[in-house]
Amino acid sequence: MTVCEQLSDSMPDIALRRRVWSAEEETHLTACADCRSEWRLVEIAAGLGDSLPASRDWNVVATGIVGRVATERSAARIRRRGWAAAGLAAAAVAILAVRTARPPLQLPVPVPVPVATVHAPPPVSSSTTQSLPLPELDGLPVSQLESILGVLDASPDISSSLDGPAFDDMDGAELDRALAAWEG
Amino acid sequence: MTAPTPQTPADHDLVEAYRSGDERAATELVRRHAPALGRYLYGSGAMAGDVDDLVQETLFRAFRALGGWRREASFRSWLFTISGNLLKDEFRKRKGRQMLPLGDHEVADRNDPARDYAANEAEERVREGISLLPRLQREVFLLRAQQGTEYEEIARALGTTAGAARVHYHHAVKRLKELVR
Repeated sequence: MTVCEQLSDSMPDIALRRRVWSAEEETHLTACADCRSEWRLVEIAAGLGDSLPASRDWNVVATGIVGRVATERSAARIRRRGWAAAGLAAAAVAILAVRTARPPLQLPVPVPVPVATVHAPPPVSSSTTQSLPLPELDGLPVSQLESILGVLDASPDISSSLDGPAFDDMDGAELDRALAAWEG
Repeated sequence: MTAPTPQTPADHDLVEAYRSGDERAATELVRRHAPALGRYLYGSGAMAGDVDDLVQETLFRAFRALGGWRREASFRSWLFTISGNLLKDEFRKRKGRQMLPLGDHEVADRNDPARDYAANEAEERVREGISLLPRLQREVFLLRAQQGTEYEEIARALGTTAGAARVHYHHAVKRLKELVR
């Protein structure tokens, strides 16, 4: 390491008054213009900011900072809770949506029966009832369904008109027509 | 930097105390490091009028993220790193690297105004020169020349090696000393 490098390494500590120049270093500094300009630079750099107003009430500053951190943390906690609540609500909505998208409770569905048996219908097993796919009826309220049943019970003519192909064999348009006939 | 003694607890003890709810520990940390932080920010190119706000913002960011201090570098060096990031954000916000206007420094009212003026002028030139250095050179130079930090500690704080820090310092000195000839 050259003398210039040694001096360079010592400069910050000397500028910050942690130590002083040795006689040898001082001699070199006097003779070396390059080291002098570096020393001048380091002296200035070490003193940067010394002229800033120093009398701050650090208690006040610290209290402000600690308060700000606490406020931010509680806000973050509230935000997290909000997100959690929103997540739960979204999950609940999703569950509800899935449930409502499923086929609703199987309401009694009018069963096509032969005319001869309309007034004395044979017992129909529940499995037969449930196996009839009539999605058009799914959206109807109970009162309407009951009125349809009532019409069916009271109108042998309409019932007889159903005496034909089984519902299973009908396509959508045919079912629509049948429904339209029931509803008048 | 304050060396821990039986009367003055180490920074990491104060940090732990603060994390356990002791707000006096926070006050001690602020009192211990804020002045040096202010000088560092000023030396990095912050305007004198902005220094207080930047110090507070740096300390706020630090206290908010105390878990991020890994103790590889000293608490103060970690603060300087945070303030460096903050300044970078400020520089970016202001669409330029330079924050200090020439003449930002107040001329002290002393016995020899002409000499003070020349000194202040040199200081402003150096400060401007520092603010124009690449970030790593600027931070290494200030940590070494202004704060007297050893190269090993600088390396830990800035995530480099002591040898690289020394090289950055000498590059900075080479560029800056032309300003004070």
